[in-house]
Amino acid sequence: MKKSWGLALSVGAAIALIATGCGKGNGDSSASSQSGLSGGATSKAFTITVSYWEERKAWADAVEQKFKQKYPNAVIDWKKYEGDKYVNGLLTSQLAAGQAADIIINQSPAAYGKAGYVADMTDLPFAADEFEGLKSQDSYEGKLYGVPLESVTTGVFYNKKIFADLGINTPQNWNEFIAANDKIKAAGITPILIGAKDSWTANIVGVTINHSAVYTANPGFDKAIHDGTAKFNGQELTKGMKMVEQLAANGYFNKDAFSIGYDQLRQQFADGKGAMVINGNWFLGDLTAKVQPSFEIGYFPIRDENGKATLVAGGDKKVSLNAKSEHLEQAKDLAVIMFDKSLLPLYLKTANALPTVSGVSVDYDQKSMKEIVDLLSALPSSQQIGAFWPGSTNTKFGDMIAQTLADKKWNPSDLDQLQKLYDTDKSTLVNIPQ
Amino acid sequence: MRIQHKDFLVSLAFVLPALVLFILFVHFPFFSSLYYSFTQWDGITSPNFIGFDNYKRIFTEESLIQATKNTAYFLVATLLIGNPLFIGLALALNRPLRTRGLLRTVYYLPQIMSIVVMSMIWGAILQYDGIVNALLHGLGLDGWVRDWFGSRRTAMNAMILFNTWQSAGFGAIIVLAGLQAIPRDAYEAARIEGAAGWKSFRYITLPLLAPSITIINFLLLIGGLKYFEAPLILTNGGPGGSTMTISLLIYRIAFKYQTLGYATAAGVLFFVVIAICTLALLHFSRKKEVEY
Amino acid sequence: MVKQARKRRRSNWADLSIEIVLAAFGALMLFPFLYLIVNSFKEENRIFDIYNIPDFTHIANFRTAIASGNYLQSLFNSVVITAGALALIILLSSMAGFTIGRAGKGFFQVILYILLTGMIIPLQVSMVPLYKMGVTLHLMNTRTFLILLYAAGSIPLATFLYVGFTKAISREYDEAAKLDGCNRFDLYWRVVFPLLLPATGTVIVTSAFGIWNDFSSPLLFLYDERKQTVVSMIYHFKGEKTMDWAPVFALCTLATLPMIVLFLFVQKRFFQQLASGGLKG
Repeated sequence: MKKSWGLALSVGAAIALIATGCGKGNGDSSASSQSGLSGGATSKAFTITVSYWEERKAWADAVEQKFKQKYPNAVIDWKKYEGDKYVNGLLTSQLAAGQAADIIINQSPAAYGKAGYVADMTDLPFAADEFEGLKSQDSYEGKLYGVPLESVTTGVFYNKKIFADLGINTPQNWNEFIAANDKIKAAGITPILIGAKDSWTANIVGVTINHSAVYTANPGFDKAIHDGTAKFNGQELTKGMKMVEQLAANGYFNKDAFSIGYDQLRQQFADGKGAMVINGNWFLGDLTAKVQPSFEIGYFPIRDENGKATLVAGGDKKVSLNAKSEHLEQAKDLAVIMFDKSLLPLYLKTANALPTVSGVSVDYDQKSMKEIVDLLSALPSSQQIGAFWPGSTNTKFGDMIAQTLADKKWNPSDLDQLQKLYDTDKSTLVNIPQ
Repeated sequence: MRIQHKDFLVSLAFVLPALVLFILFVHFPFFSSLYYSFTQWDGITSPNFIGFDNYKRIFTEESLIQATKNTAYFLVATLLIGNPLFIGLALALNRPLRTRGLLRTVYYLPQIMSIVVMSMIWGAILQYDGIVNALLHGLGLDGWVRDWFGSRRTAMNAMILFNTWQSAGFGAIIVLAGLQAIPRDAYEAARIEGAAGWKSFRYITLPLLAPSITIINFLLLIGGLKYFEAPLILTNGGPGGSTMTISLLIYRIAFKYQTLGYATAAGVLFFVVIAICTLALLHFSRKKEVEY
Repeated sequence: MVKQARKRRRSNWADLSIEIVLAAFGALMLFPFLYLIVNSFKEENRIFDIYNIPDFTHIANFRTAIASGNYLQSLFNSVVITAGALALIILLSSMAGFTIGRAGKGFFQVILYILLTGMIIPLQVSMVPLYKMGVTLHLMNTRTFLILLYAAGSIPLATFLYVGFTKAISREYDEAAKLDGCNRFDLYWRVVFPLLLPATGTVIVTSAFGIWNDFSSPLLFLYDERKQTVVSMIYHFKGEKTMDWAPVFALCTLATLPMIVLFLFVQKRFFQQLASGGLKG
């Protein structure tokens, strides 16, 4: 009984979906002829599905509107999923079962490309505009399988009022950064906040510091690791981890670092309980809900003792095309509209995110976003550390950082473990560093 | 002989619907993924057959030793706390108390709510600026103030406390049901023979309670071995791996390492370990059960 | 007479002190629950401030929670899914449990062990096959699929409980029923199933809340928003890295209320059955 009821329901839903599509198609097939844009446009009605997990409404509406100018009879079905479930398994299951959307926003285009699930995007116009540094991670055997909608970076966000009250200038090198921490701590304020109940907030501290230390010392670190000419326990990561250890050993983090989460971290920063947060650019957007407009936030990168820094520039929320889509051509057209340079600012502004293609300028609400954009063009940047390591190595790297922060002491033999894991799982790597 | 045969078929017909549904939706998916335990597989690209390498690798996993220790610690603690607590609560609730109905309800409430929200609340109660520390401070016990889930020494004990809070009512209710199923005749007979108090508990209540006690121990065992949601939400296995359990480790291998083949192998091995523990427990406790 | 009265008084004192200890313990048990209710009335910005006690007039969280999706539809879905799964669990498990409990050692004991393995299977690895199966059976995005999954997942524990409770039912009933000319199904349905009602109460109490509160499976197997459950509405308040806790607390309070009602109802029947000596016939 129950079963047939459910079956009937799902079949019914499918029919309803087709029926509404057809209804619109039959209704006004003349509409498409009005549009001068419709080069390859068909008058046939169709539905394009887009699966995603983060809402960017203003942009999505504009994209849909523009797409309908080209295909008046098209319906875009935006399917939103819970991010964690979608990225960690659901999407893969959908692809394997042949049930995935036509346009898939995802985090691992290269692996999907290798498996043949997503289509080659190398020749699409916006792919040519994508910043070169971002491409390698989403490529497999020279073909590009996804283009990120946004790019993220990390660094130190600070409460300008606390810095001004204590007479601290923006640190220009590691020693000044340490001195600033000491001064804040002496004033009875927590220098740096972590909310390690959401473990990524601790992880990102280590990632940011190690990234700057490692790639400043050796920009070709990943390739050298891959070729075996550099080792995990070499001077690069040793230097980075010693910096992390120093912060922890000096007691710069909040006492409740391991029992609060990201939401409480934001609240404490907004309440002025801590002076700095090492996080990503999205932090600015997440903070706006918690603070008055007068609350001023500054940004600076982690610099080494000589004042040199390398920033993270990592693609996020990548657009890929389902290779088995029935509407592949139309999906390509939709993707082109998604990357339209007049529409992308709508996306980036609401997300407080950085552009991934050239020729896009955004008028951000947050002043410090401008500082980030300027620094990104002034300083060297590269894919986030770990982007070219296997998952096991990355997990161990995160564990090592968490352990160092918890123990206020770093165990150098962890680097040997990283090397071991890398060697074991190296063959699973999809993207090879150049 | 023929009657026995028919009897068997009727019995089978009673058991089959449950068995079929179960095998279709639980066993089949699990065993159909068994193949992957012999492959190197990220869950996306096609699996690569590598024989027993995944199984060998588990024994070299550095965090496995700690996870095993943590799981064992958690298990022993919950069994040692759970047994007397559940039985004690059930015995107390079985007395003619005025507020019995209310108390039963209250004890069971923790079981009603979602683990996600409960973890959040417990995290807030035991956090550094939380109410427990405020209370300790108020009592002048500042030496006791600490970040309960956030320090290596106390994190696992805080988990055990949280778990005990959540399971106490549940355990008590199972024992209570067992207690109330004991026929009064049994006590009558004992009373006539002059047994009361401890003696009556030891020789009447406890043996007749054995099936319920088996149930709670079984649940504690399974719950302890599969414990991973609360540490996943509250500490993600930290700080410094102090709340990393075997189940959480498998979860991480599957979703964070993106090595599903390896995770499947770990899952299969773990399955075997739990199966052995369970069989041992059931075998051991069956001997103690009496039927009447 | 005097001795008896004294004894009664002593036991009254004993019971009173037990009652006080239990009440104190009860207060501890209740505390996090009160914390939830208090938090559902807090403003978002003060949600982590433990010293902030709201005046319970700030009902915006409840409004937000209800407005976030189709609350009534979701409530209906939760009820349908939970009730459907429970019906299947109770029917199938009591039949199986009764049979296994009576059969003793041997073949049926092995079946029990096979079922019990279900409790120890690490589910994390079964997701891909489950998804494929949902697609093959055309059950994807149906509430039926969830009902079947939950039922299959709860059958082991429920059967295990029924086996235990069956053993506590005297075999004399079976003999008597046989003499009355009952066949096995009659024996089960007319005699044993009513006797197993307390066990059924326990089964409901052990399975219902886990099913009701699960917010993973609806997100994985139902993509249609109109089919989501009340608890999966929590997801409306989850940003990529952030969570609006105030409406989540309110939603949890709202989602828990029906469960409390169910619990009070089941509990009453469950204990009445025991108290009235249902087991003795």
